[in-house]
Amino acid sequence: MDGKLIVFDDLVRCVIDGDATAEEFQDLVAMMRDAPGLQKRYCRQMQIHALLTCHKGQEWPDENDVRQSEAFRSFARRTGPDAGQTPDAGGKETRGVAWRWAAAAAILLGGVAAWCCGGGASLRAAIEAKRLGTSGPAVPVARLMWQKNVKGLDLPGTLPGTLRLESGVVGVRLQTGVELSVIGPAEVEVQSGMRIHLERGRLLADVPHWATGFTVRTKQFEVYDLGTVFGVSVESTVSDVFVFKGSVQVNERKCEWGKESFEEGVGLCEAGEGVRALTGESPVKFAADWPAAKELFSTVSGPSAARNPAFAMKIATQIETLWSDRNMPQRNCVAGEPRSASAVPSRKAAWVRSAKAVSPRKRRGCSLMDVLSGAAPGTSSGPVQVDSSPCGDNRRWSTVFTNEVPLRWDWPLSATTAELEIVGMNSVLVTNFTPGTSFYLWRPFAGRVPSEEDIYTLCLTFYKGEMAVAGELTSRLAVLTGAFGKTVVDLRPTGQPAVFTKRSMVIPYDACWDASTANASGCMLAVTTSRKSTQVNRFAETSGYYGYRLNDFGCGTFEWGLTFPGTEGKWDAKMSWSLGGMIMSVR
Amino acid sequence: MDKRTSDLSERLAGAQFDLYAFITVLMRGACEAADVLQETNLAILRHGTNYDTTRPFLPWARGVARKCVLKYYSAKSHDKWLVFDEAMIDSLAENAPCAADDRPAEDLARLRVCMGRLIPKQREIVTARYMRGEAVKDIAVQANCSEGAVSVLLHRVRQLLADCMAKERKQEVVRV
Repeated sequence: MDGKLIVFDDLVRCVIDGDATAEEFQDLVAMMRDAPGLQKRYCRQMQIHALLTCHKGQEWPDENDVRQSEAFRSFARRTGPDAGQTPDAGGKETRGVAWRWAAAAAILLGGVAAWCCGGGASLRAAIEAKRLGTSGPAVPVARLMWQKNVKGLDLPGTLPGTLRLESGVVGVRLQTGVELSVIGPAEVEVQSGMRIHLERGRLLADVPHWATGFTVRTKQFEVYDLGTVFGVSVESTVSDVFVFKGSVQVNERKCEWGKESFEEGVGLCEAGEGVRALTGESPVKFAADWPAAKELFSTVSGPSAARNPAFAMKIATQIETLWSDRNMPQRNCVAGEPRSASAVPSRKAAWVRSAKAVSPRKRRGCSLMDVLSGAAPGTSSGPVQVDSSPCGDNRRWSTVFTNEVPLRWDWPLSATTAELEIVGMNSVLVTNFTPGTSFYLWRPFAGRVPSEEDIYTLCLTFYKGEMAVAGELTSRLAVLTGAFGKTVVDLRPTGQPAVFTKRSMVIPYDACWDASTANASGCMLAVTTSRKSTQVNRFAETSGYYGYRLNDFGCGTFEWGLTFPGTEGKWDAKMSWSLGGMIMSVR
Repeated sequence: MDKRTSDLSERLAGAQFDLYAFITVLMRGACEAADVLQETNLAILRHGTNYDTTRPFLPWARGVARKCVLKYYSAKSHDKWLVFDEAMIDSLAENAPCAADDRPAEDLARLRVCMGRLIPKQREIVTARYMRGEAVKDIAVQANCSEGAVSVLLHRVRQLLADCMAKERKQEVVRV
């Protein structure tokens, strides 16, 4: 080898290792320019590098594997498409039998992606070994990689086979290199290395790029992977998919005349997007496309989701719930009535339902109409300011008085990590801690005074290892505008309703408001809808706050009744809500 | 999924390795190659109607991949000294060997055969670097040698594998 080649190889080596400096890279480019031979040499090294990278996470064949693979390749050469009629090992005349076997395998896999990398070679070797009547290489259908708090685990031994898990989390690798984190209870039918059917439970799939085409089916849809990390959950009649990295194609499942088919119905989902499908309804696509959801998604986006699958799936569910609350209040309004099949347009391109909320102008316009219809003009007083902080009697509730809330805690001896989850009516915050950190300064809102009232539930969960819970601390906090001094109350004459245009509110309750209920031992808040269905909320505390979101109940007229069981008297209120605003009268 | 889309998806799935290797060549082995492959997959599925099914799939798919590489570099602010210019990308695209359209994954089978022929020390270093994804410096610490020595050994093993695979390919042609 001449000196120039040695220098060239050295530069290629540095580039592949990622150590090349700008000068070295420019030297490489200069040497390759107008030198097709060197370009080919570079391509050859890079292709081997790509091939080997492609093999990451898989096992190399042992001696037997190699012999099987060579035997297959030799056999395939003899019986390949151009080889003409050749007797096989059993002496039967076939043309291109091995290729038909391979094609059948490809169909079985739902694609030919399994041909790529080791999975395909192993599978072909296994198929061929079966054909030749010899034992194939020991490539398990689903190799157990790790497990946490596992009970009742059954792994499939053959294809198709079923993976069952009573509880806990397991990580398994399919023959194609696809890694599944299955969260129990779950039941997964492994139809091939490239296709599974999730009967129930939750799983997170980490699909290497060479296994593109990996498909997860549920009763409601199929998810066709395009090289990504995504989660799927199935709960009786509901299926969800959420993409953490990359993209997937989601096809709606149809069943006509007893024949099953999958139609292009939902489109492409990219990172931060997902689909929820209920049996008998059109799938709905959702996305983490507003600031609070983006912040939430940032905690699990990318490959990090695969490192803590249970947490990632939990965040995905939260995003879906928040998205529904923001964008589909009609889901609540028409509960029990199937949505129109045209609710989600069928598109090839990525599509996300608009997350745009009703504009303030529109809301204001509607609420003004409501005011005009419900109250004569000129009958209300001007706003007055009162101090409404009820801190004195709230023994179990804490009220935030500043926008900086110091949180302190002691670590259980066995805990190795902790997760703090703060769930409010309008936002969710999740953050993790390691031992040594016992303080967190939480800022529930920006500015000096909160723009909206809120109720927060704080939960600090300590983990032993990654999944075992070692302890839990909880707290509830109310953010009230009145706690920061004075708040505006729009006083109206008796019988005239107050009008709100906000999407959530904090409703206080206190047995001490009246002497007759002061000794009550509990509290009950009932909401009766215009359809006369009643939801009863029981509280052990006799004073506190109830966080009310419009979307919890949807549009319509609602009657509220606050009682303290065992005592006389009732506080009642009537509320009407249209999409534009809310009218409320309290007695 | 209609038949055309299904057919395109199958061809795309089968071409994953070739496209990945092709993009790796054009992106001088950068780890972002997987991301660009992802973009390429999406572009191929979105613009699948432009593909003439009577023509070979891989050259067309490589054309899409080349555009995606250029788009990636133009969209991101990379250090221009560490990126191939468009002329070099075009030249490399011409010189990168293309797998036969009907058996794009044969090289992987050859690689497995050739891996089986490496001596244990060579296999171990390749396993550490590529199967377990360990960094060169970590391998050097474990092997009690310099990073340069590990890097050179890896380079030689890649060369050996490339030679072995080329030999295998030739022998197959002779046998057939």
